[in-house]
Amino acid sequence: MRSKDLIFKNLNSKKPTKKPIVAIKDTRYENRVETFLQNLKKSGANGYEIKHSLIEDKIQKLYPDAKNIASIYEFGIKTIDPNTLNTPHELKDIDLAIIKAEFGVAENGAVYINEKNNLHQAIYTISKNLIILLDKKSILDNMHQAYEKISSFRQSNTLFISGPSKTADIEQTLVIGAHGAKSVCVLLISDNESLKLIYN
Amino acid sequence: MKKVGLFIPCYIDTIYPNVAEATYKLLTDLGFDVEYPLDQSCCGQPFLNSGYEDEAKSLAKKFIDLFSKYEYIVAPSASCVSTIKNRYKDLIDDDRVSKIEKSIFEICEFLHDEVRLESIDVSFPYRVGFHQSCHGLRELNLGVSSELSKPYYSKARSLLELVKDIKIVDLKRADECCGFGGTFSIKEPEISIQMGKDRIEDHLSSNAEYIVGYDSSCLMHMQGIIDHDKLKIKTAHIVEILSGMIK
Amino acid sequence: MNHQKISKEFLKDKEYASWHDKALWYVREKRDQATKVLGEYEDLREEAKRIKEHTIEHLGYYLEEFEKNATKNGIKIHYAKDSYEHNKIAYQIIKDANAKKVVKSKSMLTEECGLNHYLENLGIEVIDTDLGERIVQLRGEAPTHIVLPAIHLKKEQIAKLFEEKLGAKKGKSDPKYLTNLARESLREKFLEADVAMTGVNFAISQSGSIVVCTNEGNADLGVSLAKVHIASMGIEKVIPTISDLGVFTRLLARSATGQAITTYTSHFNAPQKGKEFHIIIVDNGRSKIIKDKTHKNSLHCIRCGACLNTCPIYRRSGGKSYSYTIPGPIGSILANTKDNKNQADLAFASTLCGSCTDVCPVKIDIHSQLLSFRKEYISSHESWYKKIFYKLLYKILSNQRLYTIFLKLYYHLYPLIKYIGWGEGRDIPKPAKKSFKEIYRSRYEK
Repeated sequence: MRSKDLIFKNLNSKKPTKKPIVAIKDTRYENRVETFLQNLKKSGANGYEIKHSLIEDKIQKLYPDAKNIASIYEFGIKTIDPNTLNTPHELKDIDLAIIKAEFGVAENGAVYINEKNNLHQAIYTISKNLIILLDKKSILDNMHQAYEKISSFRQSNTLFISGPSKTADIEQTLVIGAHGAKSVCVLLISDNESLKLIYN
Repeated sequence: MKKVGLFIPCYIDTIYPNVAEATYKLLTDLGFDVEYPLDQSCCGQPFLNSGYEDEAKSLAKKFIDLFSKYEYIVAPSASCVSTIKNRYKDLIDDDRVSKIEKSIFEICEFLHDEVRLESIDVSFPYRVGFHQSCHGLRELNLGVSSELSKPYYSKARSLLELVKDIKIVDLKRADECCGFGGTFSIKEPEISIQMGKDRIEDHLSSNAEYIVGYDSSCLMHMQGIIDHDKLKIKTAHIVEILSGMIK
Repeated sequence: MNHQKISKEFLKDKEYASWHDKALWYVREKRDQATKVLGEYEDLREEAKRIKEHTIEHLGYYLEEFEKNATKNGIKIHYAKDSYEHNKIAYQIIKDANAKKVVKSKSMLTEECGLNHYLENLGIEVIDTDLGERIVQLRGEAPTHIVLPAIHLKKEQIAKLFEEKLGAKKGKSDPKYLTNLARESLREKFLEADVAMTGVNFAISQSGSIVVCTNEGNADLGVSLAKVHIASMGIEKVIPTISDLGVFTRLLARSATGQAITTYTSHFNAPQKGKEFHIIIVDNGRSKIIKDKTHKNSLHCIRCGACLNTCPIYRRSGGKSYSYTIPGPIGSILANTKDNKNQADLAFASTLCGSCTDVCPVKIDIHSQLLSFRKEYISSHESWYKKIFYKLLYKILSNQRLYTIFLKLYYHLYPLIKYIGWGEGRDIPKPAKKSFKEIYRSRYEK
């Protein structure tokens, strides 16, 4: 017998007539942006509310020493378009990547990355530092709302990022900067202008 | 007068008869007609916990035969009451079990839920560390365990707070297990004793003079360590304090 | 292996044992803080339990749907009936890809299957990329905790290890320095790897996707660089819908580390362009447990480790005292579902305090299951002298005459036998002169 058959022999394959509906009285926040920023801080990241026109200025202030900056979006500063690279390995020397999040979640400071025009997933973890652009108005209360909003996955890989990579594997001492980004800054854009793409 | 059947586990009968006397006295002072069926023995818990169901079943039958006639059954032992209330129904097939489940109370449960004790004329001018034994806490819901995301409440502690001049100290770990665990104390003595030592140290570091609890089995195990190490702290069952029998 | 014997040794170094206990208690405290901020936390646990119960009840249906949807998206599904088959399938995929180097993010299932040794014997280099796992891998030992693999090690030990294996500067035990060194050393491995293996936190039936949660980003980095992604999952990892993730992503990190969410919560839905994505679905005894009414909810486990952190016995004995891949309370159950005869000592390595049951995010009745394993063991394997002891105890307790005789004996022999002690460091209880039965007879009997 095939292994699958051996396994399924012990399982109930009948379609369930109904599925329990999740009915939680979930926590809502009076000020979602404030709560988001608080939890973002807890996760080890920094958040700034800025106007769209000041993005470049802020990036340069936050990472003045960044030499290799990557982004699929167009800025007034010099960036490498990762979509022009053949392999993700070529991103290994990227100091700073600028990415866009679809929305944020107040209860945990996480943002949802669902960039359909990005070719290399590696950009989210290989880059030494990350700047995440987020529409201030997009912040939701909690993960229930987040997954209701997502409803289906349209890319091969989407993810929530909450702060820089970290570990406490050595004597429970929190160290920021494990394998992914060593620092994360979230720029909450207060005026809603869409970002142009380099890639066409 | 409401009739109360008093159940006394063997280790209280033999090691801490004062706890049994205190329970008897307190209930009598509160106006109950207390009877202690002399033919009683064990509730069966040690046998159940070690997997000896036949023996446990036989002891359960004996208990049911002796106690099913009482309107209230009260015992100064949360672990025994928990066994009878929660586990007899799966252990033995007897119509009288459901009546017993409704009539059996641990002493603090009884004083809090049935008697609704609101004041007591007893003084105990000492620093007291409150030990929340696991069975009472989690199986009888004598309080809310520290793991749960629920507002804290403790029936037993609220009774202790009625005592005049008492000072209940704060502990670092409010409800960590003392390490007795019945057969565990024999099967894994090293961990059992280390857990007991850690609990006692928690009380000592808050300058408690007494470790007060509602389960004498826990107190017995901690007392064994206190005696061995000649530590400057005493143990007492809450009913001894409430009855005024301990000064 | 005997839990008591190893624990005895563990406790001999009092300072170390105390440090270990406090380190894990600290994680329990963090869990408390993260869960108590949510008024609905207890409701979330109940929901998670309901979802898992429902899913396991209809696992055949949800697993079939999972396979269908995953396959539709270009994922290759493989079924392994046991750990050996899992390893064989993994090796075949690696061989077919002409791969020699594998980076692996945390997967207790691959530990259960002994994958690393299997692959290494066939000439494949396997690098565990989770820092804690990498540390124990370099030391040649097994992880002692399912979420914090190296919790039993002091930073000085890790510093010495990195000195030997990674060229660390002598005597530098600063965790930041050591972590950075590991980052750089492992970065090379990520860039050279042909295959990335990951575990699976949740497998979503509705979309055919898997979810992997990490703090380090090693799963994402590995998968995004390698040409082949192999994800290993037990059949019980399935959950019905995407919206169910709302419940589980709010529970997992809070229970595990006291964070509101892990740094990375990654949904792998399809292979990236030009890459391969395989999922190996493993049984290894799980489908049999489903038929066991008492123990089937042990399959609800989301491997958060909260029960380990709260267990006063685990904290004072360490992962090595448990003779199973997964230690602690849930490990003791899983070990006994596999082999009650030889793992029963783990069912007895507990005071049944119930704290584990209270912290479990999916409300597994852990301590009740440990008790039922004791019963199962006694009814089939208990040693004759223990049986005699309990029969004797029963006789004494149930017969008034014998009981009275025994009491008198205990009272009179106490001055002699008290030197036996009740373990090292505890005196046997001092019998009262008169039992309550005697007092009642003389004073109160009507």
